[in-house]
Amino acid sequence: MRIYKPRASLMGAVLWTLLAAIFLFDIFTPPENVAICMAYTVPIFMSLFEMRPRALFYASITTVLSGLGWLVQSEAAIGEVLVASNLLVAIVFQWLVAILVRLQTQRFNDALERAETQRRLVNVLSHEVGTALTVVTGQASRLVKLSAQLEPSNLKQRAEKIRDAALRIDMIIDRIRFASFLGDGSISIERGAVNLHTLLRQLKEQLEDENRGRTIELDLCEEPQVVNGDEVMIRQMIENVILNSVKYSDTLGRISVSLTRRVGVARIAVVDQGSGMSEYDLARVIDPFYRGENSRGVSGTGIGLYIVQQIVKAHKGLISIESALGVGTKVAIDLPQSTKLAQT
Amino acid sequence: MILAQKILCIEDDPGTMELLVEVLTEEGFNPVVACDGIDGVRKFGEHPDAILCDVDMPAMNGFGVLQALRRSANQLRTIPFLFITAYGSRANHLNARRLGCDDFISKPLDFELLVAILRSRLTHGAKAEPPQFLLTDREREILTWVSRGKSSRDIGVLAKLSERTVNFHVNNIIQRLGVATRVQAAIRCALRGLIDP
Repeated sequence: MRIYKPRASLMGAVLWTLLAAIFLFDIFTPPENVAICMAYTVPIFMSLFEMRPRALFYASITTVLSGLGWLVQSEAAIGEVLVASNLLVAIVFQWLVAILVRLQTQRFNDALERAETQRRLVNVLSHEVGTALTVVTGQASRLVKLSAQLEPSNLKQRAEKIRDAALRIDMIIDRIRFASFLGDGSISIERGAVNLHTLLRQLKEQLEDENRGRTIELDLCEEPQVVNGDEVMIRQMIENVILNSVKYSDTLGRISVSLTRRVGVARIAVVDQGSGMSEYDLARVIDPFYRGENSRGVSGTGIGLYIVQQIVKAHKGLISIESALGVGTKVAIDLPQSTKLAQT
Repeated sequence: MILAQKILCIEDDPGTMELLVEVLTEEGFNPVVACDGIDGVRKFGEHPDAILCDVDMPAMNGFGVLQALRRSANQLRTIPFLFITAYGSRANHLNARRLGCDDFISKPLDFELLVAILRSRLTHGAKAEPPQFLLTDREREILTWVSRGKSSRDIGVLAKLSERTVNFHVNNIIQRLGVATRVQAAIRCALRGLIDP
């Protein structure tokens, strides 16, 4: 396949030429004609058409050029003070325009981001729900067709499949709703002392029970780690991370969860030997509904880590993810230790 | 006795696969089961009369299967190849049908419809080559990324274009092909060998 070279340089070249032209014009016109510095706002405006508008960068350039233009010129007839103040007005204008362009770019990017999230949501919904609905409608139409001749046990089996598929759709909707509540902050966070030792032990037991055959290694530091937060959410957060490891590593892969104490924070780290992610996917994996290359054919909504990130944020913590394709993934979450409770 | 026609079913969702096998067997076909793309390519050796293939699968997706088969087997042109895709609404699907397209069947699957399409494709053989349809280099590049599951924004980054330009090209292809979604457009072009997924 042909690889295309960036075309962004074209607009860049136009802008630099324009800047140079204005600078030359500035030098060769009488020094009291400071108004020419206003013309610098034109390239700043035009930077809107760049692939990645750098309005503030051009504003710094034009400020320097305006200053240079003033320095290289001979004495003005109207007095230096007047020229300088005019120049100041021009520079203020340049920066105003740059800030406007910057804000507009930001708004445009935010709108694109929202549209992209929405598109991903539609994709996830149509895929996940479509797969589950195939079972619902398929089994239901089999029931209609075979109603007369089905054994009760077979009938029960089919009805259960329909129910499971319906529950799956319900779960997907629940998760999406939960994520959107978290995202817009309309979920209130309970505050209380959460003992991470107890929580991690319980979670290990629960997850090993639910995923038979998987062992989760626990490595807990000695002194108890207590954080101030919402126990249900913190549990959900760690569960999401561990379940990701379960999902994207084969049954022999090790999954270890460690709890260590750092300065002022408790660090929970989950390390697996799973399929890992490319750098490209790693940069986007937290975005809601984003599903990486290795998630093809693995059912999911692409929302788990977004939920994790939102919960971490609500607890004023930090999350970091390292990953390498074919090697594994490490997710580390730092939560501020509860000072009040640590003393008791 | 007439031998039952073999249908190679490549699908990773066990619930869907179970139903496919049940319905196809009941309709007198002989379903050959493959649970992912690589398995599907391997089982092509059993000489199926038609292929049903999911698009979204682990290890190798539906486009990958099509490409691998096309590379290794020339007779693919005469064997009906139908995609099953979950990316498409009912409205999209209806629209595509009205336009006379039956290269893909949308999830949730309507099994009666699926059997009807399969029967008609088996009796009429693979579709005759449609009139000349070509893609520009840029369009081919973009559609290839679409078939690899990238969003417009990601394609923009990869091809050093703005997202708007990418969407413009994709919509253009969709319109010219008379399909409803980008995945359907990628399917069409992959089937015609216009892109290399």
